[in-house]
Amino acid sequence: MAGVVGGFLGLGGGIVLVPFLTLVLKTPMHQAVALSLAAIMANSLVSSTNYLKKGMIDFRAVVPMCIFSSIGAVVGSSLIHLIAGNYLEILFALALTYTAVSIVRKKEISAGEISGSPADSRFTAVAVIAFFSGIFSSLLGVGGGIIIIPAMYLILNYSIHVARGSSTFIIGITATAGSVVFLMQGVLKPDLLAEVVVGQVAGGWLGSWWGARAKSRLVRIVFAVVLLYLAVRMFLQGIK
Amino acid sequence: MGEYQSDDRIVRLQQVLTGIILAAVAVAAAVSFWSDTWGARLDFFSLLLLILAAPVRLIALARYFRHQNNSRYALLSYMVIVVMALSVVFHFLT
Repeated sequence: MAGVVGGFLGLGGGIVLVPFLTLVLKTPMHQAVALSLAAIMANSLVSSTNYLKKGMIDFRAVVPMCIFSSIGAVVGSSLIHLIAGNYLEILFALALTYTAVSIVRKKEISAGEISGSPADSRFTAVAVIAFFSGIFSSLLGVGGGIIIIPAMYLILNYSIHVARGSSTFIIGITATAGSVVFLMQGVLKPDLLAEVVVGQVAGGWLGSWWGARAKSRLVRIVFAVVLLYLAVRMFLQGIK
Repeated sequence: MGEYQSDDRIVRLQQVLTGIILAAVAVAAAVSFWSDTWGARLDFFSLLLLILAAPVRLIALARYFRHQNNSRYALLSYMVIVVMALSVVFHFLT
């Protein structure tokens, strides 16, 4: 299920996997985050292949974002034991709500309106967005697509399809950077790896196959609903 | 859709990597029925393969940019690997 959601929306699936691991399987939060990042690596490999076949990944945006999101992921995974994230979660929930509303209200850009790579002229924005997506990825085990996709769509003016496709590649690299640190810290334990990877690969393939063919409006609405769900969940967790 | 150029070599590489990782995970799951110790070792090996897939993909990306005569982005692709490697070095130093 996490794989299908992740593949369809260009996320990693962590927003489904982390709650499942912690609430149902009673996995400690830090381990669930680390395992989720490992799952995102597998999901990214499959999902990005499907989007790549369709020409829905802009590598010139992917590369600089990977650099800064990897730095962010390393910083985030190093900070995870130091931060009690209540305030962060509430702020993040508000930002997600605003983003969800913006995505639904914004008009879609057609392919013909895009010339070259929008990321080329916005290097500072790309760097800042990617850095913070990397930090959130490692702190919450969510891949970073929830920041990358809205930012590419709303700020960098990519179409929602290219934003999703590019995100599937970036989150895999970001998750790897975070996973390496978690592995060295002993937080990442590959106990449930087989089950999670098989589920993510199957779900990621199905979700990205479906997502690459879905209508833009449907994608935007589903994405906004997922963001709002995440916002409510994070807000409730933050005020506990 | 189809706004950007695809690259068949990266697609094929990612499909091969997926196949290798799935095979490793399947073997680890099968072996864990007989031996927990060996199952855990093979799970760890699968995890290492997953991690190593990222630098392999980035090297393929660098080769793609070099093929396009875009040495700046080829260099940036290698820089991502350097960032990952530095995080390992930094961990051992601290």
